[in-house]
Amino acid sequence: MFKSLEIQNEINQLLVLNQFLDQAAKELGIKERLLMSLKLVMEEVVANIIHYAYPWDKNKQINIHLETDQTRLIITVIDSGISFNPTSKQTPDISLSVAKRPIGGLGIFLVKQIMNEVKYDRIGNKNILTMVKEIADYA
Amino acid sequence: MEIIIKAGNPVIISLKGELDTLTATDFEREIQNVINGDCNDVILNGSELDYVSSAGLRLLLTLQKGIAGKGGTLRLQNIKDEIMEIFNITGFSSILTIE
Repeated sequence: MFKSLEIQNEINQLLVLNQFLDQAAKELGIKERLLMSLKLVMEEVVANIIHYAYPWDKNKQINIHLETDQTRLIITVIDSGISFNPTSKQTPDISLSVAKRPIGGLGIFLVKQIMNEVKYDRIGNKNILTMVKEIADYA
Repeated sequence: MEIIIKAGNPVIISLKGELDTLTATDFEREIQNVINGDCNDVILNGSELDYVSSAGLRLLLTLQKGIAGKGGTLRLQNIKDEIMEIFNITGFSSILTIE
């Protein structure tokens, strides 16, 4: 099963993304608990691209592919913006007290915690983020 | 998302729907009012809160720091299991008071 979506680098496009994920979940039989985690992951990744990948340009494309086999959901997010490897960001220290805990910096950490694999490639002028989630546990 | 603030002591903030990148701005404005207000006892009721993204988590931490900074307490109540899972992953369950 393969589904894809193309959106522009505009923050309201997150609504289109969520509709796409709702629809895909229905078709793929993805349960509510997993859908929520997926929405969170996709919001983090795509909002980051919308905010930072194209600092000077509007109407730039972001492509999202969803692919499933029996046990895994594979999500690929592709943009042609400035080179950025989100997996290289430092892991926040989540054991810090509230006073010491910095505000922010949690997005990619959440993505890595929720997904089983997160891989970044720069191919040509494209950022390609591939994320894999084992879905057997959620069936 | 719907934000309902019931003034008094404690102040009760009820959130309904999704606290994400798109709704965070509205919530940010409201929490600044609560932080700048007189009341030190704040309850956040999450019985109808369906989703929190990292933009929402950032604001919960801002609220917690703001209230604690003036010697008050923030308590979260009726948080759904799916959101507790996010709090557990991020370590928020140990820095927020969840009842």
